[in-house]
Amino acid sequence: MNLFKVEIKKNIKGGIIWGIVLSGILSLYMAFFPTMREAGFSELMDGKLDMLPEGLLDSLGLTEMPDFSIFMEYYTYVFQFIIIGIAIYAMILGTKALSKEEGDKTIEFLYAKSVTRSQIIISKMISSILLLCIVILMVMTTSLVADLIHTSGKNTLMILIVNCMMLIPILVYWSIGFAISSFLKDDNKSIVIAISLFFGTYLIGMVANTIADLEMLKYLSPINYNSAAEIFKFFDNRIGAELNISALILSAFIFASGIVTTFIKYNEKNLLS
Amino acid sequence: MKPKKEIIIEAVNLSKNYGSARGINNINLQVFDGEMFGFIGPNGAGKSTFIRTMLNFLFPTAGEIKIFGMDAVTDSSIIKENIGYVPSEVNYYDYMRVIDLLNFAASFHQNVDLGRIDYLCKKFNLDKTRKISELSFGNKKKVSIVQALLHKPKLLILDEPTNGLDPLMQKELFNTLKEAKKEGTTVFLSSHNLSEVERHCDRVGIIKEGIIVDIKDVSKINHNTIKKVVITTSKKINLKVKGISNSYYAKHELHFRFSGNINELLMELSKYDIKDISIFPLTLEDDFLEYYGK
Repeated sequence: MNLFKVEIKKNIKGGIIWGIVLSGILSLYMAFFPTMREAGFSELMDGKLDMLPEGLLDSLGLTEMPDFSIFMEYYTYVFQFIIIGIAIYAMILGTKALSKEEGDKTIEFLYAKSVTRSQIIISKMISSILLLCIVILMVMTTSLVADLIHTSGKNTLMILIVNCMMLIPILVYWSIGFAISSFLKDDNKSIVIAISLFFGTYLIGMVANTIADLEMLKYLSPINYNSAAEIFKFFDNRIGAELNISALILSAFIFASGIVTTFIKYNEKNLLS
Repeated sequence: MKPKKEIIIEAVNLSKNYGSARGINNINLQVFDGEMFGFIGPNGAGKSTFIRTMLNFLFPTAGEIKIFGMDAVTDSSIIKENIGYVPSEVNYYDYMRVIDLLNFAASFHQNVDLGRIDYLCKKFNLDKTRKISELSFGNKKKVSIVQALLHKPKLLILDEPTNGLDPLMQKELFNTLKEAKKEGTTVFLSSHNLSEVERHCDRVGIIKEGIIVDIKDVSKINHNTIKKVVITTSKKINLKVKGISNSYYAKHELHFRFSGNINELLMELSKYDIKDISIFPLTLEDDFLEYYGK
């Protein structure tokens, strides 16, 4: 509990800043919804976008043209970019969790105390999950407020479902971050590694969506497994909408592997001076 | 018959090798309950590697190390309930205040008397309200000493504890260590400062290139029976007295150790033209330098 409290105290400011920035971006985009709802604008957009190549639309997450006059379709389109932000934050939290203490050499203080390495990992995992939850709650609250303003709160349940489902890719990136952290000797390159890995796989996912022959490569990009729009359509019982179950299973596998790797590697790691 | 002393630290054929860096090789060592054990050796000899293996920062490559009879790897967190550690380099959480760090350290132990934190801070003249980031190296060292002592550990491991401390604080530290020793704490002191080890420790282990080359009982370092003699002469002389060892010439000075009858030596010297003579007690430093061939 003592370690957990210290972790929260150390990182809460950063978490709140991420929450404020992402909520601010979301609010800004959602403020444009009334404009999008105007039929004329929607038709204009449809006409213009139809002229673009299908592959490009796929890579922009516009696989099936969203109807921006519908709140949830506009919201899920915007939300996919917010999720990118949260996933990057999750990955940075993970990659820095163990490596920062080693880089700062404060880990020697902890290692000299009566605490096991597994307890250190657990404290850091729980505290970073809590920080992620705070960021997600801030974003979710912003989403609910936007829904309240624009549709008098008709989409509350759907917003909650989409937000909860999007926790899956976030946790996958978070666990990959932790696994990487257990291998690092310091945190000098942790942010670079987190961002490069995220955007590297994200770009591969975009390419996979564009070129049919490379479709399997989308499994390298957890954020592309089930998009927010697909989740909404599935739970909205739209005809033909489905969830990629194999991707969900793969997510669970990567998540578990990340956690197991972290515990195994960290528990056998030599702390070099 | 004297009761057998409890073994607090026991290394058996302990080795730790990593990469190209020198580690420790086949170390066998026992440190007993209530003793102050000095651990000396130059930089890179393996002192810190041994300490870091004791504390399970590093995993042994071979052999084992037990503390309080428990395995230092598998029972590490239980062992550390009763260990206080002062590292040579102090790195703490910069954003914390001294008192936050000390309370955090206390939270890892059961039933810590918080009044003891005040007592130790006063003793070491430490301002509890200051931020760690604002402290000098010496003050950080004091924080390190206080956090190691606050739970009255059964074993104190100190790695170069006097680095950065002024002479008054060094004295206070050794007074505190002596008090702790009286209360039954075992002290493992790694240091470059040979005179401080000689003054305060009961036994001393000398490590060279990862191997313990000798373990000496400090009280038996022959301060009285063996002397170090330096004689300045105009030309080379050949002394024929029993008890001369380790003799060599440096410029016009004859250096040797003498363990025989001092009157016989003076008689022999009276036969030669002696310009100057100095006789010193043998110190730990002499032993140490002998091992290092200087």
